[in-house]
Amino acid sequence: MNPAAKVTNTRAIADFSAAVATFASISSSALSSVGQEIQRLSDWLEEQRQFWVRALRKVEEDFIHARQELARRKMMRIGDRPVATSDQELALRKAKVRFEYVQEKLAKTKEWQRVLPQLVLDNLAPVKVLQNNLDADLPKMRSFLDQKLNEIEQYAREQL
Amino acid sequence: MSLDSSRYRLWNGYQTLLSAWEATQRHWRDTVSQDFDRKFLVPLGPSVFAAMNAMDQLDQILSRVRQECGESS
Repeated sequence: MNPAAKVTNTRAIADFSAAVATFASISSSALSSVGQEIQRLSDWLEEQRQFWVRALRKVEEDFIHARQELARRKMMRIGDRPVATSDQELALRKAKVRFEYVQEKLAKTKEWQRVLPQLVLDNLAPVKVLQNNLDADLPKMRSFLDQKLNEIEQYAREQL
Repeated sequence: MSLDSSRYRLWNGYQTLLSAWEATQRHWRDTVSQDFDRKFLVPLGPSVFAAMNAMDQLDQILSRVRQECGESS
């Protein structure tokens, strides 16, 4: 059968082969960046864990200090009257809020470090499927198109 | 590169590929091109969409992690 019979412009096939190559490059870059982005987040998560561990040490010290300061103030007397402790009570409340906030952040960070790998694995599957399909099919597509072009060119030569 | 921009690049690349194929089909329309379409282009769509949905899900998870483990929230 004449391979050129239904091809009105061979350039169109060559252009499409180039478009397939461009898509291969774009999709490969886009899909591989998914893994890179996840790795960046995992690294960041570990940095955050270390950050919150250090922060917890600091806010724990602040909390203990604020509690001691309040206790010390409560024992003070001017004459036989106790001194005001509202500033120390406020400082202790603030230190407690900050302490609890950091505790919660550290717990959340550890929890995400525990569950993230499986969540990523579950959601990454379709990305990997596409990557595998493209790795297998895009070269086949180009090979198919190139073969078609060769057949047409050979047929054209034979007709001369 | 964020997942959202990767997703956009994949979508854009896929749309460009489809446009190129449409242009090609104006000059190549026979059973061979139909076979090519059936074998390669038709199955590509669902797997691109599935990957894009997965990237969207992952983007939401990553945003939540950043929000819950970062200093600001």
